[in-house]
Formats: sequence, structure tokens, C-alpha cells
Amino acid sequence: MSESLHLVLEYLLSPSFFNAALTTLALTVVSMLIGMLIGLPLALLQERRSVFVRLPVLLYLWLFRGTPVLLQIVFVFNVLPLFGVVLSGFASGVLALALNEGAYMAEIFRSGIQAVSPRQRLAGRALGMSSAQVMRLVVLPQALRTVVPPTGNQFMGMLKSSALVSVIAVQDLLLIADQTASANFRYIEALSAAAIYYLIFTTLFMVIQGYIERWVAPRRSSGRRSWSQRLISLTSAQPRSSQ
Amino acid sequence: MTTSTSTSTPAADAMFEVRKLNKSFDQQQWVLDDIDLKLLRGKTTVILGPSGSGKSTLLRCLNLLEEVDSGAIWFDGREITKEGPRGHLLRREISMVFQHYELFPHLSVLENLMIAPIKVLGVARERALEQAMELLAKVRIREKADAYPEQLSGGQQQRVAIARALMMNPKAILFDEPTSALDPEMVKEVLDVMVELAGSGITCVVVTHELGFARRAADRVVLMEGGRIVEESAKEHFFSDQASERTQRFLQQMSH
Repeated sequence: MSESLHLVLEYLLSPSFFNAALTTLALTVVSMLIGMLIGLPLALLQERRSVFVRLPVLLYLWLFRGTPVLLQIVFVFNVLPLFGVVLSGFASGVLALALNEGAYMAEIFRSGIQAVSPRQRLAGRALGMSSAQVMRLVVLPQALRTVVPPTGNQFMGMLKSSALVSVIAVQDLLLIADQTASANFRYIEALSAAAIYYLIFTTLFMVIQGYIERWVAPRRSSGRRSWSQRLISLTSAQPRSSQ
Repeated sequence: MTTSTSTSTPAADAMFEVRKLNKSFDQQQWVLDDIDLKLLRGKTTVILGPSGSGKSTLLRCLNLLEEVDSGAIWFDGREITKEGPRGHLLRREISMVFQHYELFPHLSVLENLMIAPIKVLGVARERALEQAMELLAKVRIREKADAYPEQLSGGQQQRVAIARALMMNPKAILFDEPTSALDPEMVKEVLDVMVELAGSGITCVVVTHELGFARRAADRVVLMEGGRIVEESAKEHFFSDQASERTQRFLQQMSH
């Protein structure tokens, strides 16, 4: 047993696992950030009345939410080279994951925007703001509050979806664990080491989400909370209501 | 679709002049039916009427928050119904106070006041801050400058909203049932601020159910019903026994 633990520890500290963990983390964060950059304009475009603007957006959402992300990864990796676009495994993985994530983030941003009362927009317009100013100064800051928890979920989901890039030979955590185990059949140890890395990252994401939620929460000028309250808010999925 | 019914310029004493204004929802139900109305410069006009009479809709047409079907609205000597998509420029000159205050919950009281002057008018931050503190003192809520809207009572929020409207140095302020959402004990603190404002020479248009406010602060009173104007007269006439029979009946119902 102690030999097993020793092996897990050895894997955890080995350069190959550490590098694989960094690859997984980079895939997740970069894909999420690009996904958010794709999602916000898509959500804003859906606000437009014109069918010619909304239709292409709907087509995008339909395509990327309607097909398996694994298919999208393999497609980018194997089909783009036929058109002369040759990307590394990592870049292909990021591209596919980000395009897929963009569709989901678009829906999250859209629901956040719609959660802001139309009367707030009216108030912004009545103050002489242009539509763009109403969106930027009134709607989006309030939408942020509703958008943070589901975005946190997406980060965790992405961390795990990123394991799919092992099919296009990107040296991520799962692939390294699998390769290591198949050399000596110590599956429990290798997979446990990978799992520990995943758990460290999800914990990190939770803590960061907690901080962001507190930052965007409805403000109070006398806002100091005890440590126990902070821990509770870290473990609850929804932002604490503001009574 | 706006068609100018008359090319003659409006009277010089009118801040707003509404001519043959029509508005319907879905081309079916007429919300505003051939409205002709003149709102005097520097005066306070109170618009009364049963709910559904079109008074709030009329108010929102005045700053083009609602689109009109036909007719013309003149503001400060120009026909605004022709300005179309540049409506947001017009609204720098006309402020509005809402039934549900509509302060921005993500901003402090001070930021609520300063955001539009800075971002819309391009006023310098220090100048906006100075004016904000003056106005907060005027609406007697200076000590709450750093509070957030949810920490304030309804009456306090509405007074902040009035200060926010004044920050734009508007030529006219439109009040859309400003006391209807307030607890009874808070109505007075808001009305007191409004009475002061009405006496300050700014053009006020107030949609309300508060007959008391009309008696205290109005110069002219308009009664609407079914999308039409039933009576439009000086306050003294409106509340006298010379007012129309319909007006007297309405006032009787209101006092029960």
C-alpha cells in the first residue's frame, strides 16, 4: 500500500505529469477565454431585430451545440489540413474547444442580458445614453452577476472536456496517465495521480469563482464578511441573495 | 410614420406642443387618440386620469421613448418627431423620473448621479462630483452619497432619482407616477422635493394620482380618459365648480 502511495507521489512530481497538467490547464483557460470572446458578440448580435443578423448566429449555435465536441476536435485536426491549414494538435484542440464553448457562452451571456429588467434600459435611455452606452454602462455590469456561476460551471466542464484532445495525440493529463499505466499496468496509481491534478484545478477554479462572485455581488458600503460566511459562499452554487 | 399636420411654428411660451398625436398598439387599440396639448415653459402641468387612460404613454412620447403612429411633437421650438434615431440626443435635454425609481443597483448613489453627465455630456469628474453633492443636499440625502440603492428606502431612492434627473440640467422633467410605488409615509418627503422643484421655474410634467400635489404645485391640470384629453385648464379653474361635469365626477371618485 505504501508502495502505491509512493508511486502516486512519484507520478505527481514527475516532469511528464507536471507538463501534462500544465497542458491541460492551458487548454482549458485559453479555450475558455476565446470561447467567452466569441460568446459575448454572439449574444449581443442576438439582441438585434434583423433576421439577417440573427440567422447566422442561430446557425452557429445549432451547429456547435448539435454535434459532439469530440467530432469537432477530430474534424478540425483532420479536415482543415485538406484546405491547407495545418495546425498543431494543441492549436487544433484549442480551436475546436473554443468554437464549441463560444456557442454555450453565447447562451449564458444572452440569459444574463435578458435577466436585467427592461425598465433599467429605459432608465438608461431616458438619461440620454445611446444603445451601446446602455448596454455597456447599465446592462452588462448587471448581467455579470447572473453570468458568473454558470461560467464557473463551464470552466469545470472545459477542464474535463479537454481530456478529449488525447485522441489527436496532445500530451494532456489523461493521455500521459494512460501511456504511463500501459507501460507497467499500474492503472490505479497513474489515474489517481491524474485525478489529483484535476481536483487541484477544480478547487482552484471554485476559489477564484468565489472571489469573482463576491466582487460582482450587489455592493454594500459596509461590506465585510466573516471567514465562515466566505467558506459557505464558496461551497454554494448560487450567488447569495442580497437581503 | 410621422406626418406633420401643420408647418406653423409653435407658440413661444410652449415648451412642448403636441398636435394630432395618435398611437395604437398593433394598429388596433388606440392608446392616444388625436391629442392636442400645449405644455407651458417654466410651468408645472399635472396629468390626471384613471389607469389605462394613456397618460403614461403620452409622457413617454414626449421624450420619444415611445414611437408615435402619427402627429407631431414640438419641443423647445423644434419638431422632435422628425428626429427619429437621434432620439438619445434629445433625451439629454429632457429628464425622466420613474414609478419604480430605476436607480442602477451596481452603482453607489454618487455614481448613479455622475454616470450620465460624465459619459453622456462629457462633464469633468470634479465638476460632476461638486454638482452631485449640491443636489444631494437639495433633496436632503447627502449623508447617503456612498450608499448603494438597495440600502435606501423607497422614498430615499426616489429623491436620489430626482437628483439624478437634475444632474443633466434638463429643460424639462417628466415624472411618471413618482409616488405610486411608495409606502404612504414616504409620499410626503418625495412630494415636498417636487413642490420645491415646481417652484424653481423648470418645466415639469407630472403624471400622478396625487390630487394634493396638483392642488399645491400645479399651474395647469390635464384630465385624460380613454386616450383623449377631457379637460385642460388652469389649476384654479380645474378644482372649481366651473370645471366640466366629467372632471367634477372624476374628482369626486378620487376623494373616496
